[in-house]
Amino acid sequence: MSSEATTPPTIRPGVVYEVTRQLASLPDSLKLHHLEWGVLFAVTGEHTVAQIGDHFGLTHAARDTAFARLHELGLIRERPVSYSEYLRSVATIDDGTPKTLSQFLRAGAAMGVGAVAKPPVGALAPKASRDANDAKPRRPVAALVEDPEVLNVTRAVPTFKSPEDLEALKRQVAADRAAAEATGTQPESTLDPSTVAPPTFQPLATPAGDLDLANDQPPPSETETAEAERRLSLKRVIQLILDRAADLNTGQLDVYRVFIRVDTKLLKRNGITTLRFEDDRLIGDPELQGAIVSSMQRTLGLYCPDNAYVTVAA
Amino acid sequence: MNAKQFKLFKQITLDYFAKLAPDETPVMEDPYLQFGDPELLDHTSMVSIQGEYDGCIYLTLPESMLEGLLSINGEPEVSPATLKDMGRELSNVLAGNASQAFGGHWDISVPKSLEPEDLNGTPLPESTFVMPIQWRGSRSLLVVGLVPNPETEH
Repeated sequence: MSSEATTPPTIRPGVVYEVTRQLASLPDSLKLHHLEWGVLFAVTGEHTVAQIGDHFGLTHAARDTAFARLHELGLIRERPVSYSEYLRSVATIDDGTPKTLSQFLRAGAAMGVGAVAKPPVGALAPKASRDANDAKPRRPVAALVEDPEVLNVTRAVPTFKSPEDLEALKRQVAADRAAAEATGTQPESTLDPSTVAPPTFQPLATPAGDLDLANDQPPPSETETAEAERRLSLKRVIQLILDRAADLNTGQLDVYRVFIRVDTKLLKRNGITTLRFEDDRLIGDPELQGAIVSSMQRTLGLYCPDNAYVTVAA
Repeated sequence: MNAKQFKLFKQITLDYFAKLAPDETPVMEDPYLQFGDPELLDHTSMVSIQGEYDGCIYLTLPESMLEGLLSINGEPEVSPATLKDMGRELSNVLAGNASQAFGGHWDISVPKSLEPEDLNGTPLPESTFVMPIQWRGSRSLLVVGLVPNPETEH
């Protein structure tokens, strides 16, 4: 049976993987499908399975199969994430629910280009293609861009996601050529493959209301509401659970099952001793937010979407 | 506990009251979740259950509702002894309802009939699903209290 036919259920879209070894140290005998190589190069310990799959435009099955194969071969492993990284990783998962424009833009930032995390210091998750490149003599970028084999790789890696990326690359190539012609030497670009190949994933400018939990986010500008706090709306969480249920009884029971796993001390600490299904409470306590989100996933397999959060002035 | 079982359990409990007084239909109010100390009234009929989750199901009601039940059952005397008897009767009904609704999938204990002092020190689930029932001017609470069963946790 081919690897396409089996998709182990252990590949979860919100998980961040890192490579287990430097790609330059991979044995020459290792053979992977084209797509698997592309995914392997995109695994840098910074992005979720969902983000990488989205960049390649993969179906969930194809994406999960590629990740499963790489995992099975011991080439990648799950990287533990911090609490804030976890919340950001969850936001990268498109659960199909309708979104407002603001939510869509925020989700887009996470899904398309926003790194969930920077790799931890000392982690074995360097820029994958940089490692691969270090094993070979450097080639000018102009030559690389014209090399069909390299083009295939760079297409597979989500480098040219935005038109701006491509334009920047073209400008750099032109500059390289001009400089080479002027000096009569082979062009040596600063935009070598080590800077070209890794996913760029530069965060978009996000509307107010994006996560403010991660320390690696750029500081808000003076015009932004620095005091904004992201809170979990229990009404939206409850409605999400009710909406997916076959009927009201099932939905209410599902809500209860989620809250069974939430420590009542945490709830009471936040002033919640009773909860009606139509009530709204905005949870700012990160520990309680995490407990609810985690229980939703564990109990119902349900990821908490970005639109379950609201931003309020602290 | 699936929604079908849950719905059946609610319905047969309401039916019990409805049969006693056909002209005074019990009304189940909107349910809610309660966290921490459970709400307990003058009398509590309880069964423990074990299955996918561990926990209990109980009906807790004020003395006025027990008196109403005595009256409907033709018992003219209202005393601590007759009220306790009525409480035990109610506990048997609850256990029967639970067996009917959940019997195939859950282990259900013998019923207990408890006064507030009996509940002192009794560990009860801290997260409960509460269904208030209005009947003949009194309000009782049908409560499901569950905790994850470590043996059936995946």
